Amino acid sequence: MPPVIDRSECTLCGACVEDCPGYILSMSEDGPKVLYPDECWHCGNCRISCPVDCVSYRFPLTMLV
Amino acid sequence: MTMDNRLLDQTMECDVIVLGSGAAGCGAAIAAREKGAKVILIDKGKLESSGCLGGGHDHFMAILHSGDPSDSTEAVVDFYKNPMTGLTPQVIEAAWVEMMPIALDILQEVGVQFVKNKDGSWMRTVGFGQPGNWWINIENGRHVKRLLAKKVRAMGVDVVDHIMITKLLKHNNTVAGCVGFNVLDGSFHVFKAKKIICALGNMATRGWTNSTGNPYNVWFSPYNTGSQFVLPYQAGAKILNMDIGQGATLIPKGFGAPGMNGINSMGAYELNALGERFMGKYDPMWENGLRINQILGTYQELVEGKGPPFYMDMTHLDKDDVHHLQYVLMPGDKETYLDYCEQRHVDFAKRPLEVEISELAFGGLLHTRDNMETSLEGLYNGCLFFAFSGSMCGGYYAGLKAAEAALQMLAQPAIDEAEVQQEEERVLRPLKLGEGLRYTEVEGAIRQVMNYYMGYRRNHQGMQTALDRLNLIERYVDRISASNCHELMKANESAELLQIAKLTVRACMERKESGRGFFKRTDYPEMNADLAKPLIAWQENGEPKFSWSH
Repeated sequence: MPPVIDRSECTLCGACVEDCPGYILSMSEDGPKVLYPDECWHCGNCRISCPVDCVSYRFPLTMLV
Repeated sequence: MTMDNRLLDQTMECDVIVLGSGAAGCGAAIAAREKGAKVILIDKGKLESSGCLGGGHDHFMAILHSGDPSDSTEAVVDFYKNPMTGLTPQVIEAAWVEMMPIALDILQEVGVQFVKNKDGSWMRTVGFGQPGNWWINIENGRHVKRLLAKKVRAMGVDVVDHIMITKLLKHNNTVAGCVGFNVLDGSFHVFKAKKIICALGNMATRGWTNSTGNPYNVWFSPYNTGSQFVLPYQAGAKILNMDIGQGATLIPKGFGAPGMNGINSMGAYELNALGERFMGKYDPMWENGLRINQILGTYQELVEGKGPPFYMDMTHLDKDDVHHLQYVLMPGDKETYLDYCEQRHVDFAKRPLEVEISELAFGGLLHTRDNMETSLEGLYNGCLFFAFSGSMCGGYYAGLKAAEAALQMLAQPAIDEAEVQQEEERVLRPLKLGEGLRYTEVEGAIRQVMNYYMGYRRNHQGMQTALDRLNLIERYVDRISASNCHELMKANESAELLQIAKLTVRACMERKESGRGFFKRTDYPEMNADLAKPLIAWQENGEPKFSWSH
């Protein structure tokens, strides 16, 4: 479910967590985690805010059928 | 009862409070600050990404006085002065058209880039049945909100992010402040002001779903559950058109995204499952006609078994135009558009785009005087007009008017401290409840009622049943518990959603006709010429009251 964060690239800056208008992300020691994937608007704000471009999206099957 | 020191510490005051930091709120805050007012801008989200604009936007409606009759103040006023809109010609001209050049200057100043033709002029397109090319295309639409936010912060607006406002406070029937809680830490906050501007957005979501069943996969912001109407309504303000204000559009199949105006205006053909281009039956301007006709028409085709599927066919268009549409304009409207296209193998140039009728969205309009003040003294409306342009321009004008009035006031109205403490207890109660219902259960039940009884075809018995079921759900709202601040926010959103759903159902029952909204009443299938007027709703002693505007 969107968004998907590439942990190998993530710098743990937290910008994606801060800019998510739905508060679906949370920062952990391992990096940002998607706590509420069902509440994502797919607005792209987390990716726009990411300085190292490590956010991608995988849409659920319900959006692809 | 008086407020304790903890609450006093969390109290802020100013000349003008702006509620909502989307396009309208930014316009309002900029204008009020330019006038010299001390301004607090409050939003549940963060300024850089809040509101519908937070998800991007690809065009800005403005006339440029080029000399063409359709590119004039008169043309816009004529188009929108329909008595159903509740807008006077004077307010359309003063608060929208005359603010357009100011808004364009601000947008260019902050770095918004408009798409240019080869001759250097701005690319402008037609849409929504309007008589002229009023839509200036935006090149970097996904960054508009961040660019505006930088200016708002730099000019000294006191930006308060992460606060969900839950109640407007009054003193002798004048708005005096508001209260709310921080959605990250659960702290409760009090705000006092001489004037308040409501700029929380005219379209609210999560009452209905599209084919995906996901209430967050929608074209408007799914984080707006109707504060623009619920807060003023509960404070005694009058609201227009909660019945016909509901909105809908066509969306790419399975993807809650705006952008259909760009597709329609580029010259796309809408096709039904039989491959027929049918919109000429429903609007003389075909796909470029009124959006209401496109939805009513598409739904009629569906009822007649001529779809789904439905398509927007762009394969006949100029290849460069279609490429620009898919790869520049659409991602400007929603940043993840190309991810959707890639994962669903969408290519505008090669295959027709499958579309569906979107979920409905709640909508209406605060009853507003030409000076932008609502029927509640001290409360101004920042959301009077349509789309990004209408929001920013109307917000800006509301900011001017509210600031002018605030700066003439010597004293701030007092607030009722006992009311503040009661509201704190009510709002934070889900955190203290322990075992209870999850917000998802209550919100899902509201949506089930709205999807089932309040869809694109309705009747009195169905709406009465919907109201009965919503009243049943209301008995459960106090049982929603929250184990963290995210769930606390959702619990309060669910309660708000229930209120806007109830008011919407009641308003829809009042209008005994069809043809002015995106839905039809099967018991009153024809338009009634005597009802060509806005429906006004307000609350008295906890009960909704209605009258027809003249």
